[in-house]
Amino acid sequence: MARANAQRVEDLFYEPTGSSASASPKAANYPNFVSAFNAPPERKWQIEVQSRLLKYAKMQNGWDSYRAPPVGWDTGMFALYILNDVMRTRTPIPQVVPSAAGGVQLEWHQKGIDLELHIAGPYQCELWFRDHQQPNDPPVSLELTDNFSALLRPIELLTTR
Amino acid sequence: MAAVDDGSIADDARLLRRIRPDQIVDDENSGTRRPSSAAFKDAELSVDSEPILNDNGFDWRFSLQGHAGYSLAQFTAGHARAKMLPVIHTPLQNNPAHSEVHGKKTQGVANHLVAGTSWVHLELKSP
Amino acid sequence: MIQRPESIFREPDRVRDLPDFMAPPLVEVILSIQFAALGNLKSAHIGLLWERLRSDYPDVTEQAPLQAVFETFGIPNPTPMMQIQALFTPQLPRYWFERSDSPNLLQFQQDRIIHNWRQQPENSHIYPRYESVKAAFEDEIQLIERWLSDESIGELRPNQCEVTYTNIISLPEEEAVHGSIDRITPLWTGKFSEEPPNKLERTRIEMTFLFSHDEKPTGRVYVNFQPAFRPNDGGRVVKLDITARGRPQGESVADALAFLDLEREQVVRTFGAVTTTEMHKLWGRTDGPR
Repeated sequence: MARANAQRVEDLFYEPTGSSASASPKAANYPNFVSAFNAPPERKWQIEVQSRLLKYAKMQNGWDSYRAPPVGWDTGMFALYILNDVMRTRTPIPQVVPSAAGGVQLEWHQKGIDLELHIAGPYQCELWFRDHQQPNDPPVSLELTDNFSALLRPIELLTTR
Repeated sequence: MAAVDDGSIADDARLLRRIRPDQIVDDENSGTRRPSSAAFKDAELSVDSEPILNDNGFDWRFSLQGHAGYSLAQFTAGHARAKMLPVIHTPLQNNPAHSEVHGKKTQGVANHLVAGTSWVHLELKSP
Repeated sequence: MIQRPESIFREPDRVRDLPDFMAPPLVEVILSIQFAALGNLKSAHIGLLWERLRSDYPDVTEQAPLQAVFETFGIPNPTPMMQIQALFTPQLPRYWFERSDSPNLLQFQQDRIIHNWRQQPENSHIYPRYESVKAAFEDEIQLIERWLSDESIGELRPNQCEVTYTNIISLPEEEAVHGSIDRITPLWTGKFSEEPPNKLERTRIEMTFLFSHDEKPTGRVYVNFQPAFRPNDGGRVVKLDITARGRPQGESVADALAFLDLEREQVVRTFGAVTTTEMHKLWGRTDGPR
């Protein structure tokens, strides 16, 4: 998949200098490169996340063999809203975990970063973030309602590191 | 039954919790497959107290009976109490070892529980 | 029977300094409260609700449910929400409760209550004012809360409120209104840096404003001018929709109703700002130019 993407990006930011049959090297086109780099997410994350959320919304009460309620479909919708705002082209797809409290948790554990966003319901979220490359910094633990600016830095690190 | 931590469950008692396959995450940072903190978010978190299971002639396999595909994680009562979470013995008719870890599980608290958790049984096959 | 409070027959209190018009081009007012989905609601319950509404709303129909909407903040330049189609919508339909000779429509689904006031052709000069529309909505919400409680279905926990004013604007003796939008809104000057090669046929304008409460982003106001045609005679008009949407300050119905008032003020002030003084004169503005 990564190899096919690299091929596509190369086609986008190189211009042919002659006819299509020419063996001449192509000239770099920076605006096209920038445009491709900043292109909206391919939405692969949407397909994967949605299928998980749909599965969890259909679970019955006590799905975890204890007493967990199913994930509400409005909770699932809210999770998609947040991801739609923060996901970029190269942001890894989160793991999507149903919560014993009845919500859903989006989480990433890679590149030395732990990022968790627990969504109990619309506007009822908790953020957990730890950067293993900054061992002296305590983990960030925040309650979030409608402002998700606290996600920007962790997502940027996940995307660019 | 009083809903208070009367200390009847010792600090070193292992508390067993079933974990569904979709609550197990790949942690590339540690190179492990471990329970998600989401599995510990219940304010009245159900567990089985292993010493009580033993007293009744059972072992950890009792906790997985009838739950094919589940894994079993454990943390100690003392580890929970380190975050001021009461550990209360709440036996059920069909489970004398049933207990609960009470208290709000913020992300910090849930991750504290994860940090003290290890596998008793990790199910590798899908149900 | 829905009990109407006496206040509906008194001169309604009105926010001071709010733009006011004798004959605004308003054709529809929509008040909406979205709440945490009622997981215990079943289709059989709707029949019980209709029993309580029947004297005011004898007709009920099913419609496709609306998707939940959420205003969020803190992310610069968010991508427009992609279409999720029918995957994340309520499991039950949306129900329309109405009466053929009434301008009012009550809509109910698992996570939304909506009241529409729609102008009736035979009463085109009558607008009952926001305060009266809201009073009717409040009655309906109280009825629904009692029903939810009596049937042990759940309770309303609002998480989003919305006020929409829809206006249909025509220009007297002006057929080509779609190309004369500069007379309707100051947002369009109709000027070009050089003469375009072709005649302007129509213009569409969309804007989004962010509004705050206690210096915190709280909601958004969406403005949409678009060309349209009158259904009865095909005459050209401009449709102006203004929607204010946001999260109330608390999860109670009282908080939601208070937030509707705030949103209505946002809508009306925006209406005054995005329409021209020429139009204000035509509509009989009474509070004076700002």
